[in-house]
Amino acid sequence: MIVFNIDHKNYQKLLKDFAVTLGIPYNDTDYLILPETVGKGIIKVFSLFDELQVFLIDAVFNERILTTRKKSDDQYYILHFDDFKITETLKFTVEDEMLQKTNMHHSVARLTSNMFTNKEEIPPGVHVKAVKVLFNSKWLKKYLGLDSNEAVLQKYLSLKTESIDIEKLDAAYHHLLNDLWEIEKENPLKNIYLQNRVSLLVERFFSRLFEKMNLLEGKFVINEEDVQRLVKAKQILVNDFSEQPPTITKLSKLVSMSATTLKRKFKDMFGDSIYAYYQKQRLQKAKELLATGKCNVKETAEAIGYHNPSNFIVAFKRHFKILPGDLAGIS
Amino acid sequence: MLYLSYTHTDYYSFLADFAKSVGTTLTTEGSFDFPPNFAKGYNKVLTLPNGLQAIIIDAVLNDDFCITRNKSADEFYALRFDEFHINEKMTIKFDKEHIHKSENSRSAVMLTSSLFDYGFILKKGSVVKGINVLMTKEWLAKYLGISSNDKVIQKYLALKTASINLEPFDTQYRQLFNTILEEEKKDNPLKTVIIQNRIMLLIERFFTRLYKKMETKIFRKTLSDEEIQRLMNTEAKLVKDFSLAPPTIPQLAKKAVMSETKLKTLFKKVYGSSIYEYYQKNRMIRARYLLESRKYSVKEVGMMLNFKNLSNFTIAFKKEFGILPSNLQEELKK
Repeated sequence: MIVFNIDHKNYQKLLKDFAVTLGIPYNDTDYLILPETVGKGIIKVFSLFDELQVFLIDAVFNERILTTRKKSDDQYYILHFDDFKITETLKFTVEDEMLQKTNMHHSVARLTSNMFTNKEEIPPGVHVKAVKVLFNSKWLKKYLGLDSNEAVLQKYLSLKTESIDIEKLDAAYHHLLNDLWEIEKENPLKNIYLQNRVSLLVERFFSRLFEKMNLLEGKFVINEEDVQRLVKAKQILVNDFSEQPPTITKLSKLVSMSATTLKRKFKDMFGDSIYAYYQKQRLQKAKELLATGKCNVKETAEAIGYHNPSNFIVAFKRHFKILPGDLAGIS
Repeated sequence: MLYLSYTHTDYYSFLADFAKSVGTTLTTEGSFDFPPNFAKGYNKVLTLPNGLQAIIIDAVLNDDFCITRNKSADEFYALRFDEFHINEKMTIKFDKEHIHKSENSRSAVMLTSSLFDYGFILKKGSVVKGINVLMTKEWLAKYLGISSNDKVIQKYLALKTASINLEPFDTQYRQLFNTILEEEKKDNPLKTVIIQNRIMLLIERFFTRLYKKMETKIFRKTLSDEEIQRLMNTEAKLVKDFSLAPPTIPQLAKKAVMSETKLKTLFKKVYGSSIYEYYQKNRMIRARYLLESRKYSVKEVGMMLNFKNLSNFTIAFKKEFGILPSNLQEELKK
């Protein structure tokens, strides 16, 4: 079995990791052709205007492949367009839920987020054809006007493996996906062409998701009112890190839920306990601030609510395995 | 007469001034309704997430209207999609060149640059529908990889008034254009995305075709301005109203003051398909749009598009899209 553990969000790097793990020579190209020893097929990657990354694969592997994408802090999403001919049994895992698919054509569009750990176990001989689009929450926010649409997205993601089969690929999806595969290298407007196709895929996925949400109501463990409350609780938490966060008791009052329910449902929806989530988000914010080069370590510590910089340094080091000072030094 | 003269390189402040000049103000959404003495309709500025600005106008003029954009040293470009119904005549100004149009419709796609003066005069009673997209030099470079000294763009811009009729406003443009105007009126949570994507497709199509024309060397026009204008009128008549039988070719030829053979040949040259094929294709696109709106049955759509026989409609639809209208409806219900 070949095991891929992915802990970053760089598709170019992913391609290189693939090459190394599979023992294929790699020369910084944006594609990889699988040699017979490994299987048959091609993998391509490209990125668009520093905002979107796209991964294309059309391959059959000789060995079982297990890929794991662990949950991480900087929020990002992957929109998958899977078109698999499954022989034997393929396993999808989202956090603690598992879904198996046996001997069938799996042809769906689905969104995953790094709030949860995602795994795919693909048996040998399965024809894997897929396009994956990776974007961060900033892009999604800017692009979808996410503030008002966030609840829909969170509800969808909280379905975990149940969300996998919601959206089937139809002719319109296939048409756009083929365009991504078939772009001519010499087209002077290649990037805009690719970006427009990706945007249309994202648009189609979300328009159809929004329409279907009502039909899906029965599936949600968390009801609509609670979703709104949880999203509100999350927004209160990450609103301003320079102030002390509200206690759980206070937060539960602010969103009119009992503290126990809030704690349980928050974890269900966002993948982390309230405090762990808060901590991750503010350290992530710190990382962004340091990367701008405008804040030194002390200022950054203050901006995210640490009065004692050494506590901040310890927490930062524990989380990112690097000292904040080293990061500030880079820029 | 309403005069408006401006040098803005920002659509938001341009529209704010425009609103002021007709005695009103912009709403927080960036739009204003014309006071009835000037026009019936609205004007709206959109700032898209990718940094583009666009103006949408949809109005019937109740007064004569003269608008001039003065050239400026700040380099930026405006891609204009206009669908006007002209009352009496229209004057278009390009630097010192003036041309007059007296046809009753003007559907055009054109790129203008801030390095030239540009403007137009329209008479009371004219219908103005348009989408203008503002692109900075930097935006063009980043997203389209086009530098402003790009040969294709320079050559195109140097044509000035001659560029006006270079790019026909055809089915695909019209489809995107109409979706934007219709979406604008809706209250869809993904409205911005849908509009942005359609605007990007308009841009993609314009530049793709511009480059292609350059490659195949048909950049130099083989038709006269007059001929192109007559073809545009023919096209507009053809797709105007699908609830009535289409005009016959002899009727169209008569209106276009051309022989039937000449009209047929030139139409195909400019729009890529024969007159009847073009009519049918647009009719089917309209059918699909109506079905996708989920407001009408297959039978109703057939009737709205002047099919006396429903099976002719289903056959024609299947021929165009490879799917029966009833199957499309089922697909949509899934």
